[in-house]
Amino acid sequence: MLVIASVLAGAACGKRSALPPRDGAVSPDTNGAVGGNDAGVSDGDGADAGIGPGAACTPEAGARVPPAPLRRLSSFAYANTVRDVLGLSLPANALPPAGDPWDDGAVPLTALTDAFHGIAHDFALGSTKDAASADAFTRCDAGALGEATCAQRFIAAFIPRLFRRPLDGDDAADFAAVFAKGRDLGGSYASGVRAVIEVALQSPELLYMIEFGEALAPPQAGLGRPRPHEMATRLSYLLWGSAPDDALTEAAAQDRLRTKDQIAAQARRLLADPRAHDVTRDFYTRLLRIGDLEDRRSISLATARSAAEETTRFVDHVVWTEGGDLGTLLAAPFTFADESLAQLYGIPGVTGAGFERVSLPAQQRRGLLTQVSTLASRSLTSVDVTHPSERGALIFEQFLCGDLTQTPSAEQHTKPARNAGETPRDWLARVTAPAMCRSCHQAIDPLGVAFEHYGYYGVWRDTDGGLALDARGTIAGIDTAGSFDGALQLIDRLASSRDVRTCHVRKWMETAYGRPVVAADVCSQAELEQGFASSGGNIRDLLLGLTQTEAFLYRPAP
Amino acid sequence: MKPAAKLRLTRRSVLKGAGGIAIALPWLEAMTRRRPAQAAAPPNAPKRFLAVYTPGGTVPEKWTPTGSETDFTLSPILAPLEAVKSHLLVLSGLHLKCGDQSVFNVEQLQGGMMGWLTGQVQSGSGNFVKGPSIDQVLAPGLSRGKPFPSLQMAVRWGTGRAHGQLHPLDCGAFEGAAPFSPIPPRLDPVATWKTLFNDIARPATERAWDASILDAVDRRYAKLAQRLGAADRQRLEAHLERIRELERRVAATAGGRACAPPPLIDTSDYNPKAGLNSADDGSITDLATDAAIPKVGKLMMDMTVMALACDLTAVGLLQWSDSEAKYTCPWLDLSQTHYFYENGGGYRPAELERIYTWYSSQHAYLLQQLAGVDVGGRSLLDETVVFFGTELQHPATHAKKNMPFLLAGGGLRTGRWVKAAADTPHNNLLVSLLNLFGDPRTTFGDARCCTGPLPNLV
Repeated sequence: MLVIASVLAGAACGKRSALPPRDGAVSPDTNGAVGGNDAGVSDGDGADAGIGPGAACTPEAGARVPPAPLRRLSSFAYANTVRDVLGLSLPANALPPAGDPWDDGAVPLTALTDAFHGIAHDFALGSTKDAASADAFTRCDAGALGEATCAQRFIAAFIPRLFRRPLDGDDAADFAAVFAKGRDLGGSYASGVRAVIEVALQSPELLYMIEFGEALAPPQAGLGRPRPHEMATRLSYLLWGSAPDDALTEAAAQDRLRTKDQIAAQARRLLADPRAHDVTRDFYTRLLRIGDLEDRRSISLATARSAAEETTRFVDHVVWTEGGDLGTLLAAPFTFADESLAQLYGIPGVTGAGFERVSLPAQQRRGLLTQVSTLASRSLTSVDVTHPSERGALIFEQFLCGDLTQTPSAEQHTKPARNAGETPRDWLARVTAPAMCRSCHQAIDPLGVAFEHYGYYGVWRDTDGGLALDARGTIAGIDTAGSFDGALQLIDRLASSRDVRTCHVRKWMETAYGRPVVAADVCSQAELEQGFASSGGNIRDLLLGLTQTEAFLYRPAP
Repeated sequence: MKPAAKLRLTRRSVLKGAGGIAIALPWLEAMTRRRPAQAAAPPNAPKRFLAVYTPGGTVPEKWTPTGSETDFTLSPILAPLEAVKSHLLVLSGLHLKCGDQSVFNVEQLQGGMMGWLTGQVQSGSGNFVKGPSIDQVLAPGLSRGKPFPSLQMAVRWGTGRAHGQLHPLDCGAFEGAAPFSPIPPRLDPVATWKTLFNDIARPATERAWDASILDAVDRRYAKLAQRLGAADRQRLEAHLERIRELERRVAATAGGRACAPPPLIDTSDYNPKAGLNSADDGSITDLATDAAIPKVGKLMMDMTVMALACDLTAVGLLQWSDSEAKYTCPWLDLSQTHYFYENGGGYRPAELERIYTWYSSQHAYLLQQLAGVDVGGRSLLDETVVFFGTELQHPATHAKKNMPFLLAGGGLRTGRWVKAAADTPHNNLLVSLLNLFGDPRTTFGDARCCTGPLPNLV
């Protein structure tokens, strides 16, 4: 049923999914409609409905308390936040690249801490160069009103904005002390303000999504929900990757983020804002692992930039201008190209650096997986050969939700040289023959071999330096399993697969909720899957749906 | 295939080091209490340990001195060390047994590379050894309270099959606790300089400012963490630990007048990640980077010396390249790789002698720098044990007997040429080096390669 389990049947290639099976556990008639109030957080008179046995999803409500581990802002969300709250534009490389924000092991926390410190220091210094700029930043005339008054007002205005919550008990006193110390060390009002800014910008309340939650009324065992401003933060980071705006903050202050309808209405408003496009760009950049395009040695910097632009325009267009479905992302017969990409794709008639919509050669390309950005080799060493395993791993992990984290270490991944006259396909078959290799490679390699007609940076080829190409293979373990000859047939199988849609929902859930999907999410996941299927795989509807699930609306009781 | 794995490793090693500070010294103290006679470090016990690696052994007949233990003449290769001869203990005759492919089923370069500081026997091709290196055993105690438990740097590293990554071919330091992961060296001289010296190089008023800000940030994390559940608190405390590292770096005071960050020279022609581009056979060369090896090496030596002088750490490992040695030496007018002269293009002792002699001149520079730093009536060298080593004896045969080792510095009776008894395993030296610092153990590394301490060092 779940893709991974069957793809990896009997294999030692990584952990099985922690997800419960969908069959049996969940009724096909799950209340999947998004935006309705019938399974809502509130019954309308202030009492909470909570997770009840009335819902069609059968596991005990108590087993469905969604976890809410502490989330750190991703580098993407941090950059958006300081942009929207402080008007500060960070250069692209201001923060070290980070993995999934909940995966501490993958995040270079030391480098992040240094970067946060540096950014805070520079911004605070730049905002308080002299008395005039400090007055301007604090919007207070310290000379006329007195430093203490201005500092107090500034703290009361600045801290809630940055921390995305009302000032709490100790904040005023704590930051007054920070102001006093900075005033002391630097000898001016400006230096006191500078200290407040610098400390606030490194505070956990900015860098993390802090939730305490509140109990439901009447209380329900173990189940709570985010406080109103915490809900506003959940919404804005899910749909904008940034802090709440004034309207959302206002809605939280007036307790208008209580019902599913109220939340859906705000979600629709946020989705209508271009900032939502940032979220889909970021998601697909990470899904396709193309954030490092400019560092790839297989393509020139100019090509890397064009290829990144192509994918951005394509995703924006499909998701936000067209119907916006996953099938089109995977199998669209068109793309956006400038002259250099059009040449690479063999499309005549495009000139100059401007991008235009073009039809792809029907026998050669369709959708995201045949764009240069996803095809260009990631290898740092042998750049001029294709790496089918790498291409297959991308599909396996990102579109089939397979798990390769338990693979042999890098040093066990020896790469014996290719013999003369040996195709990558034959080379792979030879060097991955040992059983310890087969368990993973038999799952990922056929998916990559399908793309052998694309050279190491994605240009179409009929032969591999004179050697015949064989791009035939079989994909097993999914609902659209079967054989294929070449990438286009494989893409057809992926684009029409329910299991691929299921995986896509899971990837979006992980991003939206900032944590891995767990057993307690069974009903949320079922609801999203059904909504996604009935909308024809619509990404915008999925984004809205993500704000309507138990996983989003609830959390453990405080 | 999975770059994330490398990050994990890096971070884990940092964490281990930081956490180790708190736990490991009580161990030393516990030893002291239990076995005072053996553990009491001599009053002039050294306070710092530095290991320096050069690849590919030596040209034996041009390395071995002549004369007697106390009255000896340096060989052609060692001649550049004449000026620091009184600080030297030339040590010949040891057998790098744990890495010897004729004794154990180990890879020829990898076994020696990884065995050099660990005394461990590689178990199976492609594997890392499973034991700590002596620098990491010493680090927690010697570096207690210092911002960096230890400091690993490498010049032109990961040159061949390692492709610029951690690999049994290129790593010398292994963590002090299980799983004894190899520690990636710092490769980028500019980034390293900034990490080490940015804070020190700034005026005291700015450092006081940073200390005050970080102190306030620290308190916010600590306070909030108290209000969170266990798992969330742990995450926040992990972040807090990073902030405290930053605080320690800011607070690291220049150790008196001796601490002066070295000038940060222009190294823009040097690609610290050149190893990433390397070919298995060394056929891909990076001439610009190779030409910059001398100045980058000097900068790394200067940084190492000042990291010790500034009390940023007490333990270091400096690696010149790695056991594959697939770099060229344009400054010596040698256009092929070091590996080519070793055996890739047939054994070429004349060219090799020039390379090893140059390395001796680098050692001499390093020792002179250490000797030139006054740390209160004594020189930094007087308080530091420096161990120069390599992974094999003969570049072409990969023989591992009669290793060309050099010791220098405090706590040793220097100015001598000590000839170890034939076939003495080099693990015995590792034991004795630990003993110099008050560690009382009598064996280290793989028991098959250790017969006890090495006599006649102090």
